[in-house]
Amino acid sequence: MLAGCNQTAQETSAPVETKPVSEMSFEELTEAAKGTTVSFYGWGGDENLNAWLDGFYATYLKENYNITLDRVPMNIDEILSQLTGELGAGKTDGPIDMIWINGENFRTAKDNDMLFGPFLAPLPSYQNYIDQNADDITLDFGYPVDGYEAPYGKAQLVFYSDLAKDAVQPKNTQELLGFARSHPGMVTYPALPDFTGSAFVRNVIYDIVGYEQFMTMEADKETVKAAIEPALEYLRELNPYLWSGGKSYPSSSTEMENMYSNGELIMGVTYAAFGPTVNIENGKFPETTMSFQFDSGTLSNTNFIAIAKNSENPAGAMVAINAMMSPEVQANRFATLKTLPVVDYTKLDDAQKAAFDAVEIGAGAIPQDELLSKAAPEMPSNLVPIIEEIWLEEVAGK
Amino acid sequence: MLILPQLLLIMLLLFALGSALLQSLGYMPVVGLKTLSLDYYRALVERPQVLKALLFTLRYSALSAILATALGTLLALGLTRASAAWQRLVYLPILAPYMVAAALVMHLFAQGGIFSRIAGQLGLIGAPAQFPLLVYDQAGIGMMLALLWKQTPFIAMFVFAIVSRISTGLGEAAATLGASSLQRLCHVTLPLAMPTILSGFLILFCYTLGDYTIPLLLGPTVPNPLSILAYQTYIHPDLKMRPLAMAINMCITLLSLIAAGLYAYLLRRSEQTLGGERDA
Repeated sequence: MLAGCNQTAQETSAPVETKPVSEMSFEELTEAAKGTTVSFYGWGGDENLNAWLDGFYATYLKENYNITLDRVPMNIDEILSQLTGELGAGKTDGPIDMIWINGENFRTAKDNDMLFGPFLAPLPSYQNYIDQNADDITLDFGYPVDGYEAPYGKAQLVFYSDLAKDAVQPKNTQELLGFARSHPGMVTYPALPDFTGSAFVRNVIYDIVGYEQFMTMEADKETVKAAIEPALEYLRELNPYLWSGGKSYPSSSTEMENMYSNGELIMGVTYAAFGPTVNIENGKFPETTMSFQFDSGTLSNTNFIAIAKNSENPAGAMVAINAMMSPEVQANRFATLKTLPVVDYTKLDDAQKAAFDAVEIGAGAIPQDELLSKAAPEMPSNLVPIIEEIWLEEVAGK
Repeated sequence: MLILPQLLLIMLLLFALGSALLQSLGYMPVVGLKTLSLDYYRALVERPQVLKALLFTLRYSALSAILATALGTLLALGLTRASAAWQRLVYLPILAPYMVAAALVMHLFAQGGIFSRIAGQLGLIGAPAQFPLLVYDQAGIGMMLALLWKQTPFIAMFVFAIVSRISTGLGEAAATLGASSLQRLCHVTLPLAMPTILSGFLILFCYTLGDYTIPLLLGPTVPNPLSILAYQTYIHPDLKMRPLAMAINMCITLLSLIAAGLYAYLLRRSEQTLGGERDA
């Protein structure tokens, strides 16, 4: 049965694969992708995003390119684990096509030759609408992208608090300490290595010792520890005023959001810049929720889509990725999900600009220009796990 | 005929165990690790975090298994006089997944939970944060509450089968010889049931050692339960950390194997004892 299925798949795709995918023009790629299915593996914890991918994006691919999208919700560590297993076993027609990825995971995957590419050059959306010289496009957590992943969306860290409980919002780490002191047990952050918790700690580090020194820092535990010592000191000082006296931390950002929703916490932190707005709209957060940033800025990153080394359908994946970077899709995503777009606004024509301009962010959000004016670049990805390890040893429960 | 599927299962298990063992010894060709060594086991010993995790895991596993065994045995003795309907009711938590037990404990005992809210309504505490930390706590109280809820009925059912048989057989014989009910319990029922009770304890202990659900949902950030530490090491973005995770898994496996060996020994002994009873 299975062998039969594989055979028909190979037969239908055989004629177009006479030329290697890496040498095809975009027209040839769209031709090769016609009628195929592309799988998209990625974190599935955001219901709104899932609905948008299955709805607008899947329909867009079907109508414009006759491509069927197969979204597979899976955590990135499990995706890479599965891919490692497949590559280790020498499997060449893997089920994984597109992968939602960034940071340390991208570095690992690229370093271990687990990705297909470079694949950006033939894609018209990349050529026409993306700023190819911007740091947040060419670098992923300080690591060169080199055409092995395409920008998918931008994210920026924001804090949020309930103005009904305290009208004042902290503007830096010192004020945050005072804030936690006046609301003991009602402030916390997710336990590292949770993605959001880890970002919170990096932001605290930035506010206390600045970020410039980390851009070229050697990935050595003692060096990193010495550099972040004042921030570790601060985090230990903060501990007694945190939820559970800093003895425990929520195990995920979802758990922290739930605690904020039911009033256990007065503030929270998220890497989705307009996430609080979305949560106010769907009734999860109180309407008195307001986002805020540190004056010294908050972390920002770009997340990307890569293609698995052994993808069965790299042509389909490239066409689907090109569609994802198009102004039309990015504008719809911005309007529906409030995800910061990756297209360069100055490269758009008036009609395309109007689609972005028409989007109303909504209550509880920081205006986009103010938000972006206080963006700090992410740390090189190889420092991140080191900091997570140090936090567990030096801060948690201390 | 049944041997074939059994063999298949055992082969799968051995294959998984074998590849975990190889990886723990540092053999992972996919990421360029090709030499066998004990380096990763040495690294485990050198990390204070691992020792803390091990001690913590042993403590809550043993403590919850001891408590569940004691309470479950008492419950089994009580059930010998209860109706069948009561028995079914008592056994109900056995059917529930561990996740349900975790949700129950969270809703009841967390600082934002029902008991905390009741205490707040009664004016006993001013804010949720003043309610004692019973979930995610460093003593593992929340985890143990959930484990007890699930495991006490299991022991009760496990022990009830043998206790009821003893009290109608040898127990009645002892009664005709003039033994009081307390004497029957201490000198006949409990000594005969002891191997069963102990093997019940070992089953729980082994399970809890490797359990991931309860520590994930109710455990503290530090100390880290062993299974959580293994998983966190496993998902570390640097694939070269994988052997370390496998070394932790091998430690859990070794502990479980020791307990399983004890279990097999006790099982054989109890069969001998009860075999004697059946002959009589």
